[in-house]
Amino acid sequence: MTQMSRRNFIKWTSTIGALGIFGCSARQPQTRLRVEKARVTVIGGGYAGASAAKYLKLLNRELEVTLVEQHAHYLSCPGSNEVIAGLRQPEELYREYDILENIRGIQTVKAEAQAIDVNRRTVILADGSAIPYDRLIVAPGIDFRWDVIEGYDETASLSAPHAWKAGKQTMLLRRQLRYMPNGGVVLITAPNNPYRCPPGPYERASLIAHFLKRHKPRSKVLILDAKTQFSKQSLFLQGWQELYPEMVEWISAEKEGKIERVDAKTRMVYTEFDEHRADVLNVIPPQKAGKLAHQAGLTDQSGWCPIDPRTFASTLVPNVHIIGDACIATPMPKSAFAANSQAKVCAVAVIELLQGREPGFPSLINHCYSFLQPDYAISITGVYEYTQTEKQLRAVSTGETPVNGDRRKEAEHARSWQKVIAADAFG
Amino acid sequence: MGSIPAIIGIPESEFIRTMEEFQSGHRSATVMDRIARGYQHQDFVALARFFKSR
Repeated sequence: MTQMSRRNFIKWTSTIGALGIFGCSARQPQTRLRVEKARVTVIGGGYAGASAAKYLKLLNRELEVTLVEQHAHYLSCPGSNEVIAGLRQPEELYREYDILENIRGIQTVKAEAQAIDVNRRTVILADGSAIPYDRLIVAPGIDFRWDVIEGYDETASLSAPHAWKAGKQTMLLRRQLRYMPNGGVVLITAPNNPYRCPPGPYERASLIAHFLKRHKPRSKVLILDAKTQFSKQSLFLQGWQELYPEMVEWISAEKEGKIERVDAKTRMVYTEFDEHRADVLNVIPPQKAGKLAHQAGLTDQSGWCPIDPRTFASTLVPNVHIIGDACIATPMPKSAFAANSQAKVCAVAVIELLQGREPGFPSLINHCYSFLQPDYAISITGVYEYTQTEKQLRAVSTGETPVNGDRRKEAEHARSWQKVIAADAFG
Repeated sequence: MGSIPAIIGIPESEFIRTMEEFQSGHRSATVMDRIARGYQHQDFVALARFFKSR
């Protein structure tokens, strides 16, 4: 099944008919509505922003959709742990904008958005030029809180990579693993919630162990966690025992307390109660919404963007919507799957609002796979509905891979999903 | 694409029956049983209509 936000399509069937959704056929010419001259600008070309831009156009091809992204292509985080472990080539992470631009009819602007002029309804770019909008969708992803762990700032990340945004950092960590001694220690620090990709640090530990088992079998992977529990915990623990006995060790915050200080040069980590020396040090720092969200006043004291998940509209700034990792969509995790589902809900809601209609009540979905080795994966699922009284999302169904689940089949699905999500967002 | 089965073009009755079998556990699944539990009969009816027409 594709990752449609299904209940939308149910609740908004009438609108879909009226808008001539997904293009028009000869028998059913597209109804011309006020919306046709409307301009929607999307900032950020990750899974959230790309999906939103694409679905806006699919929902109404008359809409003027502009996608502002500072990079020439996107580098996918899903799949990046496999690159780190040498299971995939870095080129496989590249996602291009040419189909969105040339086939979908989205105007792409390669520039950094620096500010939002709420009164004039324009996005100000780094060169001073302005892009107008009737509605704005912001998908800035994450930024790091460089001020939380003493000694771990952007410079420190050049010797102790975070590799939590795909790119140079991914390759740095991959290289360090290749050159570390057999018998060495890879230390991963995992942050407190909320952060991008909750099971990511544990998938990474697993795939690094897979690499070490083959190439440097006397080595160890140590996870120092700021939490006392983590996503898919029992499935990971079971998998580690099965695949990497004595090789992967998880240390709960309960045991060592806070991660207080990092010395990136000597690769030392100091916790409240102990200290650890690593041969490869991967610090995954605490996070917040991407830079633009802060500059535009879209964040609250948590550092993330409060929204009404019915439309993903900011509760702080009018005519602006935030989707993906930057928004607070609890209990949905910050994942590419969730971002894609949110983008579709937001795209439909934006079109409703442009027409002066009342948006429906959405249903959203998330399904995240984690690899423990190339033919062994586990997953977690959530289906969410909007609660009108609290104006929040509520999980109506959640589930994980059963204890006796088919992990080989899940690994095949995981690989299939990576292709499907890339095609759905960028294709 | 890959191992996830395509659902576009499935006849409506077959789609609804399949999803309800996933939901009740009468059809074995890798992940769809978990997903199906998040939806109700009328959701499957509307989804079936949508995917048939694609």
